[in-house]
Amino acid sequence: MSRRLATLIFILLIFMAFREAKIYQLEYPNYFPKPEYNFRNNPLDSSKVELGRLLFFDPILSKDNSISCASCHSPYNAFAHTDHDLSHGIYDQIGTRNAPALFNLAWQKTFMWDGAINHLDMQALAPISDSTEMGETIVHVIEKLSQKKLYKESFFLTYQDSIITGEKLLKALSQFQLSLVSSNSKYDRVRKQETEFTKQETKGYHLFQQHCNSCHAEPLFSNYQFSKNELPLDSGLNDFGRFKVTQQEEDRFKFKVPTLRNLSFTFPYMHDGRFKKLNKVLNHYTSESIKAQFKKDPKKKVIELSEDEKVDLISFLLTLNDKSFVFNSKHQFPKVLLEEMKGIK
Amino acid sequence: MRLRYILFVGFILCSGFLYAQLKEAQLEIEILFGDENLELGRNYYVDELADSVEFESIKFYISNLEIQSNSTWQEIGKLKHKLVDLEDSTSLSMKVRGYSSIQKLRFNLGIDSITNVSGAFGGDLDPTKGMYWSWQSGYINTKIEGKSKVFKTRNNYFQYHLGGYSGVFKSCQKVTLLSNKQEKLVLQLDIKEFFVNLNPTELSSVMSPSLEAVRLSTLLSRMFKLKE
Ligand code: HEC
Ligand code: HEC
Repeated sequence: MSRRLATLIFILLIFMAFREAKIYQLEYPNYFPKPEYNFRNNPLDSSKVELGRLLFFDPILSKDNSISCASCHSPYNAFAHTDHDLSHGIYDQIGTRNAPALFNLAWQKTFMWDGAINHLDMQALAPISDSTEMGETIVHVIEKLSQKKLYKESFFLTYQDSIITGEKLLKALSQFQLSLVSSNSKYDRVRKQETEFTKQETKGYHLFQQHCNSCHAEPLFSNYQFSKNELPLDSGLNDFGRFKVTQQEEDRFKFKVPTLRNLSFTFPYMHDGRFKKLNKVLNHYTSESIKAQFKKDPKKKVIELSEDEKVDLISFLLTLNDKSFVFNSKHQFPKVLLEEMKGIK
Repeated sequence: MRLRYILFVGFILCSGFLYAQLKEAQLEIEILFGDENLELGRNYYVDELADSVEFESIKFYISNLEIQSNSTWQEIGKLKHKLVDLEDSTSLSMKVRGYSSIQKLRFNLGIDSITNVSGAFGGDLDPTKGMYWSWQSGYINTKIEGKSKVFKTRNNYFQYHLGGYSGVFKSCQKVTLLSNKQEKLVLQLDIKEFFVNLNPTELSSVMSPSLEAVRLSTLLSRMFKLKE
């Protein structure tokens, strides 16, 4: 009897050791602040990150199995949607906003351009249920997943239980998205003293600190607050931004400050994708009418840039591109899924 | 090894025995329409409105159920958050522990703000329960749906989805009830009182955090009582 018990404990220990080995360490530079995400409720684990990646790339999450998260958030665009100003969803429907890039999400407090979502775990419910995005329900998605051997096995391996729940699905999706850390741009390598800025980039950096850093704060290049950069209202969309969530007059036309990392991969810019090029963005900030608007607000400083300074500033912004992030093989379409999809067809 | 094993089994048995000593009882939840138990899909005539009403769905969260005995509050519910769904009779009773000397009972009608901003949960809080908004974060604390000719809407439908967890839209309500020291705890909610008082002709739908949602939540929270 005691031998049997000992064997059991031994097997359990080995099992635990295996589980322990799968803990996923989120790596980020020491000049990054502490993440906002509470990992205690959802500790990172390589097998969950991997399950989240499967789900992220699998169109099974949409009603007609045609659209995946990656359809609008492509790894090659730092998980944004290029070419489209407004996102395209199921049955070729067009949404009302530009799909933002997804990285460094662990440092974000609220999600969506207006902060309508308060936690990364709950974010996926929005695209899954939106009739212009994936047009599904979480209940039906779980039914579909539960009929697939691939998912029954994957959920069993990661959660030691093959019963799929909304909580497990959402937390796995979070895990993959939390693993998307972009911190290896030239800017980062300069900060780590591995390289140096050119003269022009240095000039651009100073201009950035003077004019942009109050909102697009280093090192994440956003303070993740809601702010108004005075874009004129697109009357076709009538998007009032943060106002929709809080119904507070002072929040009208405020949007979440987006990060400026990886801009070369994430065009077009702004919540409605109205600008395709960075110089268009700078022309916006320095146009006479916008300067007049900034002047009215005591908390804002008017942005003045000469044509040369615009070029310098852009050369600095380009040092925020992180190729190693965009081409990271751990972020691409998972092979198992490819095999699974071939199997169906 | 054998001795340890016996000790271990003994320990388990003892703690099981001690646990069983704690008084276990049921808290029943009754949803009423006036004097009778409310049935979904049944037509009720309401004198005050000179028309009838039929309910299709009544669901709400009860959370942080506590009792006071000897002037201290303690949690008694086995579940911190419980979804009560009239369609699911098993949700209408819950196990509670040791309330023989209870003086007061209190709970939240709805889900508190902290839980609302803390990500995904399972069990009754799992988003598959249909009590979570998707386009904007937040639990739906209460869902009451049905139809009545007093509404000039399509198919005479009315829908109240009450929720909101921050600022002026906080709709989670604290309910405190005095115990009548009965052997059996029966929590009653009268929907008729609620329906007549909410001014239905002017309000066929509440679907997002709003001041109306707060008003209706407050009204509903006043309709709870402990059965005499
Ligand atoms: C049809 C295109 C589309 C699909 C499919 C889609 N998204 Fe998005 N995503 C968007 C748009 C547009 C926004 C911005 C929405 C807003 O601000 O209202 C967004 C926002 C987000 C955000 C918030 C980012 C931030 O910085 O605030 C996250 C996270 C996200 N999506 C993850 C996902 C996940 C996970 C899936 C799959 C379950 C998914 N998306 C599917 C278009 C899409
Ligand atoms: C007062 C705060 C504030 C200041 C100062 C500011 N921005 Fe912005 N910026 C924003 C906000 C808010 C948005 C999003 C607006 C929207 O989409 O409606 C934004 C958007 C952008 C975008 C689009 C990013 C994307 O992914 O869509 C770029 C690029 C940008 N800003 C560059 C700059 C530069 C360069 C400066 C300095 C010259 C600057 N900003 C100064 C608040 C600010």
